Amino acid sequence: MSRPEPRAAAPVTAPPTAYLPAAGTGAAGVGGPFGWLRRPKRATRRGKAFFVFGVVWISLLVLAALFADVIPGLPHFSEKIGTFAQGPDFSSLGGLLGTDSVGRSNLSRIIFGARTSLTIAVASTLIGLFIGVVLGMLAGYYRGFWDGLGTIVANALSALPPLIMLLALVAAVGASLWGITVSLGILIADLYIRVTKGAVLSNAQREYVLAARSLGATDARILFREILPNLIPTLAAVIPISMAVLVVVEGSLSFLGYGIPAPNPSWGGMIAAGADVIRRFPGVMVAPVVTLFLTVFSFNAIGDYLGSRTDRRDAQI
Amino acid sequence: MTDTTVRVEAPARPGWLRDDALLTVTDLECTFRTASGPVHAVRGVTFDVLPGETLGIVGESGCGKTTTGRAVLQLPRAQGGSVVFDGEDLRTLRGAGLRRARRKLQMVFQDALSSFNPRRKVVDIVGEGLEIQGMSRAQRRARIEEVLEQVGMSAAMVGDRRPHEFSGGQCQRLSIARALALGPKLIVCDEPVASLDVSVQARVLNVLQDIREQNDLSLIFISHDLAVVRIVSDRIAVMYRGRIVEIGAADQVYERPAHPYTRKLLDAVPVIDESERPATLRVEPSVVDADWAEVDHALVEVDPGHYAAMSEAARDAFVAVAGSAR
Amino acid sequence: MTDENVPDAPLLQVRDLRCEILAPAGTAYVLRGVDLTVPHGRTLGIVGESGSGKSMLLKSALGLLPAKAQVTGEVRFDGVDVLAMSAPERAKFLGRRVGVVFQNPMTSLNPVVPIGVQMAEASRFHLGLGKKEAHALAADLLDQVGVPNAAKRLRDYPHQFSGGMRQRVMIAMALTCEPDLLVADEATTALDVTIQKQILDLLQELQAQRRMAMILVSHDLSVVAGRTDEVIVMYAGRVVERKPTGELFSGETHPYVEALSRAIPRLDMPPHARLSTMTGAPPSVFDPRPDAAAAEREDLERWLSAAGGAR
Repeated sequence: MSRPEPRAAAPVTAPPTAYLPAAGTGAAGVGGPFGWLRRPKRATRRGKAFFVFGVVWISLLVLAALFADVIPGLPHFSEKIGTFAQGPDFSSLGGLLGTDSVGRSNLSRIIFGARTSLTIAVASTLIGLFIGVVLGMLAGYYRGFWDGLGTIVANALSALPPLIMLLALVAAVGASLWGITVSLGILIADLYIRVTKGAVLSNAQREYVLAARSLGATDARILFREILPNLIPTLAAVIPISMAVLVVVEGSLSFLGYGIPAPNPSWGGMIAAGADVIRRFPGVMVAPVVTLFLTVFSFNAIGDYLGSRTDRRDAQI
Repeated sequence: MTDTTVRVEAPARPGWLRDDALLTVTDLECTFRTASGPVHAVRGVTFDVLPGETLGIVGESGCGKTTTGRAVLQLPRAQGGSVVFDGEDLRTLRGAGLRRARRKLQMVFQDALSSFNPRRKVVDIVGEGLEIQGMSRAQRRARIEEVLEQVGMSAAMVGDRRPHEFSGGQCQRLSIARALALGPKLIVCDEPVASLDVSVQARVLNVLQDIREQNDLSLIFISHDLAVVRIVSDRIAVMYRGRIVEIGAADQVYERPAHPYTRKLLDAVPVIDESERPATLRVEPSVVDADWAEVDHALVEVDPGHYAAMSEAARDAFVAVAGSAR
Repeated sequence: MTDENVPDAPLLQVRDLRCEILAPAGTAYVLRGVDLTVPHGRTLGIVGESGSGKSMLLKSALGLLPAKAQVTGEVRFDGVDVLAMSAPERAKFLGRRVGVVFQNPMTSLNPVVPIGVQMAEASRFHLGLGKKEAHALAADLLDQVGVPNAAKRLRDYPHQFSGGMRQRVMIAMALTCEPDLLVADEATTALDVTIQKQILDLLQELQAQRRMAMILVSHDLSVVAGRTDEVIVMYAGRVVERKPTGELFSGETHPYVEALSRAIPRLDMPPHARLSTMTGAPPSVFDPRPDAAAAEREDLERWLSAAGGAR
């Protein structure tokens, strides 16, 4: 079979834009700086409901913690407002969640305790994030020596039983806010090293990094302007989960008596005090336990939702 | 005074290398370390490209053509050989020197979409090279508009959109625009039309011809598609397992293929019209190197400027029989 | 390829096949009324660019799409209305009589199961063979498709085969139940040129040996050109040309087919040749376009744009 003679080409014209998906419609069309967040992905409806709950709870907690001093009618956390182990008294703000074994307002102590827990969770996360991302990027991009170093550090950190390590650190450094924060930060750095290294590894071999290099980009530019922005979705999912972990660890520390010392209230301390009187007054422990549970649940829900939104088939951990 | 040193014969310069070439690659060697031992992806490849000339490199998967293309740009640096571009051996350059030399050597990748940072706007991607060189925003905007027009698009049409909002053909044209922005002298195109539909492929190839003419560019065009390589190239090199087995003018290689592998390729390519295949495929030379797949023969001259990796006997047999198939 | 014992009724007959899929962005009209016929023992080629619906055509006709896709029309296999069956009935009926080879063997094969076990699955399910017989059959089939050391290789996993070999394994699997129809959906697209020729030659050889009908689907007109009896060309979910392969370019050539062939580079073109291109793009899959004739007129302009003057 023979073909017709090929004839010369028609001039090249720009294709009509009409057939391009209109911006914003469908999965592919969402652009903009947070397009990766708005694009419909695998989030389930239940996951979304949990996410919303989590955001609401954490926001309430943060607001309450921030403005604890000026909330009208909220007694100070050391103020005795009634007899010990009273049930919820809906007549006053302080009595809403009852009183603890000494007679202080549970609500007030929980709110002020939130300050401690949240501050430590956020600050430790930031420290761990900084150490972890830097080491992870170096390990994933340069490989070789940095990969070895990053792996050794991550493995060493993960090999230490966290609670025991913390207890040792706290005994050595003293149970100050900064001592605990830095120790927790170092311990959580292991997670960030691994996550970052994995994400960097999968990105560093992509062709757009090769393309940037062929255009003359320096390594620093590639790391910060090409690779780092592509880590954000992965990190956004991990950060809330690491915060959940840290809240629990801080709670455990104060439960054991090695947390921030009195008179500052802490959730773990409240649980410990409640455990003492659990036989006679089981209700005292309820408030801090439920609060801790809801907070950790909220962080996890947020992390899960963000994770399912940004899930890409090639993400490696 | 007698000279008692042993005189070593300088290795003869391969006959197909020319003195006025823009890029001369000699004895390129690329080896990768894998779990199952070292893989010699490129084993002694030598070729050159004149200013304004297009060299096509064709071969099947695993022949080393992509590795060769990337090695020319030092991405990554080859393990052996020399890459002389515009008078400088790129293999000896490092850091800032290499980055400066890179401005004149650009690359268009096979998967255009994955060669773009998914989180950046396409206009910024096209102007990335200029930004790295420190051009001002206003100058960049002008130059970006210029190169976009050359590939048949415009800044207005591209807008603020991100890579995933464009079709495959458009992405490839944007990739070409990005390579053009820095005003290179040579562009390495690595399978630029491999994943495109026929009609889109035709458009992208036409765009390549346009920019080649307008900017007087040299191209190295790497592809597994024999027909595409044919219409794009002035000269063609056929690669097999890390070596060049045939090199010559496009007409010579496709109408008088001397090497058994080239003949095998041209015979296997599906065509609509059997008359496209060279007539010389129908004649068998009396002597053929049965071991061409295992043994590396040296490249011998078949026609002026046309070389193939064969034994002299096989070459003579081919010339004798090919002359009659005209 | 003619055989007096072959019945006159076509093996596969498709009438007015339509497929609509409800997507978040609207209704996707993937197939807009396709007719096709495959007589016993003959080869049909289906050519189309991406988005033309050629893969969906096969999947719809064979009932391989999820219920979410609304498939209407008539598909008769050996006289039996296939779309009217329930999914399990259809699977049992067609699984025995149609063998399919897909493009990417790596995703069609289970990477953690040895191929011998995967090949035996089909024969044990459809033919009721025992384990030993199924294995013997698998080894025999592998041998027929040209895999050396067939019996030993039954124990290997998919990743231990090269691309061409894997495709041979897929073909062997497709042949297990002695199908009347073999379908190759872009089966050679991902393969090297020399391997592609081997696989296509193998398919033709097997077809002749077993007197099967065959459907070759490809985006590459040249793959289909030399190896089929009849060709249909698809565009935007419709069939725009249906001709015996040898006559595709003789007589009146459909403008789209002509434009397409002008865009395909030839082995004997000079360097720096320019190809004819069509302006614009195919209609969006979400565009309803109810009237086939009107749609044809709209597209005509696009197709004729490739018939430009000399440069």
